[in-house]
Amino acid sequence: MPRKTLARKVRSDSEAPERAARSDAELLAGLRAGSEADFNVLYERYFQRVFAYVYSRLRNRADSEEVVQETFTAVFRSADAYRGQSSLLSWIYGIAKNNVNNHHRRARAHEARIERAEAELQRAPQRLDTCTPEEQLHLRRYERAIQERLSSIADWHAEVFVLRHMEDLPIGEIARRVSRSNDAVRSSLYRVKRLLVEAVQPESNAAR
Amino acid sequence: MSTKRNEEVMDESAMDFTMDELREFLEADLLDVQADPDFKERLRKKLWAMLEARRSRGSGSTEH
Repeated sequence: MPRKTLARKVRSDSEAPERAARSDAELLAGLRAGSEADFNVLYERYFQRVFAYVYSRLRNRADSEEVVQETFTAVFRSADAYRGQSSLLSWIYGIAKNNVNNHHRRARAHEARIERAEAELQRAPQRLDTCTPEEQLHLRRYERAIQERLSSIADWHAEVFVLRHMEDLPIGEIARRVSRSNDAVRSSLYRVKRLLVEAVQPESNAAR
Repeated sequence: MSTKRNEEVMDESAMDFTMDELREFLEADLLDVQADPDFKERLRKKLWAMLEARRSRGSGSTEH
């Protein structure tokens, strides 16, 4: 290791315990002055607590990572504006809490959109045994259109659709199985349903 | 400051948490859950890069 780099490493290693003992205000001042070491100490000081809090509210790793990233981005982007009227921990928790609540709101909006798409898909249901031959022909075209659309989408989207509508699994369980966030699963379901509605719209009109 | 930033950044004068919220914060401290170390390190690098970019742009105070 080059001598200058080694000297810096030795100096930073010996400084580490002292830096870790500095107050939030001192670390923020260092951060504002451009100290990466002070930034690292602040980040280490609060990361686990924020992650644990967000995870306790969301109970999904992918969603938690998303919200933790949003939180720390807001914290460090706004660090200049923090005036110390409350503790730094309170301020950070407040931002995390808001982001968690925003996440829940987005999820509810997603669910509402999916329900609307489902309602469109289920409009004018028909039973095969009560249909005329012409209606049966239209329903078979309807079924083919859906199958063609399903085969054209990426595997994981089709898997999500099947897990939800054939196996009736909850969103959280589906997210766990396909290793995606709850939001990604909801988005996928919404998009697939929109595709299917578009695919069958001409067929359903003809079948009425 | 944009509306989006106002929504993200808590007004320090409004730092009142309910008892339930305080309980949530404290209980979370007891939760034995660790983030993916790769995620933690990627986020750290991303945040530092953001701070460096802002400083090099010479952005003014973000006071509001």
